Amino acid sequence: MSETQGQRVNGHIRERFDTLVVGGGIAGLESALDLAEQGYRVLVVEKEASIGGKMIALSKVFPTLDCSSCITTPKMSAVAHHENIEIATHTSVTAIEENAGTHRVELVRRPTYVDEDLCIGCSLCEEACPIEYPDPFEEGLGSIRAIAVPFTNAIPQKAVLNPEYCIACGACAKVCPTDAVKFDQEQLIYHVDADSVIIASGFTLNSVYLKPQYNAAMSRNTITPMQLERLLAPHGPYGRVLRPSDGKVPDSIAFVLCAGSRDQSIGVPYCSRVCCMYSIKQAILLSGAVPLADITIYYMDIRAFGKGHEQFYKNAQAMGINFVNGKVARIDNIENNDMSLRIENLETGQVEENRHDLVVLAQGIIPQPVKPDGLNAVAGDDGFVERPEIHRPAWTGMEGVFVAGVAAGPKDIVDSIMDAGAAAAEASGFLSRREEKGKMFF
Amino acid sequence: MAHKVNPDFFKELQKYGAGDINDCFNCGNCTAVCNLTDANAAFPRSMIRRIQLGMEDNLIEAPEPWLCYYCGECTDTCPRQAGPGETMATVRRFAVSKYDPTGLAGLMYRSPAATMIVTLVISIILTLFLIGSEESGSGPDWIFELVPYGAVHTLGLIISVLLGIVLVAGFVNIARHFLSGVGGVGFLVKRKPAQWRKAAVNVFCEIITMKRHGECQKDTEIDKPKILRQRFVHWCIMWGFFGLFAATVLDYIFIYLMGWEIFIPARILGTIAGIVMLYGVVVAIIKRFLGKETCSKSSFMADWWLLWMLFALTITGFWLEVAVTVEASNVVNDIVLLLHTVLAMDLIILLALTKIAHMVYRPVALLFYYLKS
Repeated sequence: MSETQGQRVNGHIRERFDTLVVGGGIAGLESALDLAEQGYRVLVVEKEASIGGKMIALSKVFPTLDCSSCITTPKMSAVAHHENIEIATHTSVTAIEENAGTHRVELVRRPTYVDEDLCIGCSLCEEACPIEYPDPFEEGLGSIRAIAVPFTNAIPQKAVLNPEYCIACGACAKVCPTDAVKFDQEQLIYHVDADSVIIASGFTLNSVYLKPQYNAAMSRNTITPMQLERLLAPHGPYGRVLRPSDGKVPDSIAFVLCAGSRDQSIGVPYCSRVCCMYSIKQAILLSGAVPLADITIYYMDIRAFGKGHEQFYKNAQAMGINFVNGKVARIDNIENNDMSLRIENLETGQVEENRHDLVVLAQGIIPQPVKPDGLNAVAGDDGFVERPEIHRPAWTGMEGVFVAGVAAGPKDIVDSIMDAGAAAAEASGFLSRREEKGKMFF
Repeated sequence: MAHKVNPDFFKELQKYGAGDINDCFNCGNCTAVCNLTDANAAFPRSMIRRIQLGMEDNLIEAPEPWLCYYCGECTDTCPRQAGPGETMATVRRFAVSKYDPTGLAGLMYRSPAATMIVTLVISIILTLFLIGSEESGSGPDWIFELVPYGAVHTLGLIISVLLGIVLVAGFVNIARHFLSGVGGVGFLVKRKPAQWRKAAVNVFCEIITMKRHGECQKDTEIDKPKILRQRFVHWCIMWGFFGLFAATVLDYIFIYLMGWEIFIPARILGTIAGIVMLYGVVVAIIKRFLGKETCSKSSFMADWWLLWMLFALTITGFWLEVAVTVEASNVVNDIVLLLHTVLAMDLIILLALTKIAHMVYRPVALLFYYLKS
């Protein structure tokens, strides 16, 4: 443990919080803000280098087509500047133990090799660094330096060094005006106490390689929905939509729905709930970005259940987006890095093979794999957090532990934010009852 | 055309082994993943849909079940794990029972006990006939002490005629059903001679090479050596069976009718066919025991019955060949001869109703399929 970090634990971060929020995505940020506004002290723990979660990487949201980062960035900023909220990034919760009515939380901060207190986010190190690697924020489509601020609107604006790619040449250390680069930084394990916990650990997406029939491993133009989000985002890797293999503007784009969910053969029997709508949204955005392209959505059934969703679907149909009913069974790579999709068209009963030059596989939403020790009990069979009582929708069944957002099951952004509000309300109720009790005794 | 709907059809089909096809949500994955489907034949979903709707007549009028060789890829990739591949096999069993004029096939498919009883009864009748017969022939006396040489051939002839009648009846039945599926004889009349010629050549090539069978399994068995693939195993059993049948007929002609001592080509043919058959049967039995591939996971009683009968038939056949070659005369050999004869006749009688029937049904279905293209 380096000296600065030791001081950081003892000095800057309080050791006792009213609420620990696991996850700094939109649900976690919303609950943290709601609680902080009521005067509770909150610690937000985020495993990535920046808060913002999945939403900060999205282009627009459905069905309103509002700019996604224009909603997320102010929230991130509000959380970062709130006097009642502390943020611990690059940090994972490894254990939560109930201890005398409170929760003893073990946190592991993975080294970023940059002193957070010294770094001023000037990006000089980034410019000096000679190594580039596929940018994880751009889903591998762009590139980033081995030491860099994770993305433009990242919070905190601190550089992070990736040891997998760094060659330890020292170029960054030489140019750093505050001597913040610390090659000898180590992993830091520390503990805090939290009276209540909100799990907002969100989700991850299952692999596009799960179905060998889709041949995604062999195809350069089969992309994930998150990659398409980046291609469509105004500050994306290329600034426009190009297909990865040859930089061609695609002119026949296929969306394959249920490519990773509603499929028992790959172990995800449930519906991921958002793929229909975000695919329609992406199709609508694509018809603006590449107006000459043919866009086809292959679906089993369109689940447009939310407010305004059905109208959104109808608009897409009216815009000329082609909806074909039938589950894609095979994707074969053919010449020119194009793909041939094999389906049974359920309207005609005929087997079709259709050629496309860009294919988007709608992956399934699955829970984050790592759960802190002591919280395993709250996960259901499918890995998502259980909510045993219908009249307390945010309660996990463990005293003082609540859940918000997709950690409890797939849902869209609007529902995640409502969920987060519910979790904050439950946590606040729990905390105030606890204070009442305290008053009675003393 | 109007179709009768049978609301209890699924329940009836379950007796033939249908799995969870009510789970199917009709996504079309099975049809699209199948290597054998095209514009002229879309299955298995179309078949499953008919079952769900209770369209019994419509189901057995379709040649599609006979175009499927069951590679199991549809079952492996089915999002609802509804077992479309097994459903196709079930439909074939059901169709066989429907086309069979005697009703025995249905009984045997529905009940393993009935299979046993029917086999036993027929075996006893055959044994009594063989032992009880006084007929003699020109064969060597030392091995035909228990079973007279002439009786084997007389009975064999009778059974061959029966087989012929049953196969013709099966042919007429299936052709009748397929024809009503395509709207009557007009379908056949309208085809041009060139179409007929092409279809006939295609069917003939398929019987010889089983090319579509290989096409069917090209994805599921890609990393397997060729001699372990379903296509080769099936090919071995089929051609082993034909070879042995031919050898028996040649022996009948040259030894029984023409009175030769021995006819070497038939003996060689029989030996080779026996080895080929034994290989196919043993691999098939091992595959069913291991149950690793989707298509050999669920074994119906009828599948085991066929394989073990063939196995016993080949083993007793080789036993007899050795016995004849070394001219060993004892009671055991006499009993083995009886067993072998009864098994062979059992197989021909019962298989004509069940499994052998597909030798007629598959080519007819293929012919209809090629005529449609």
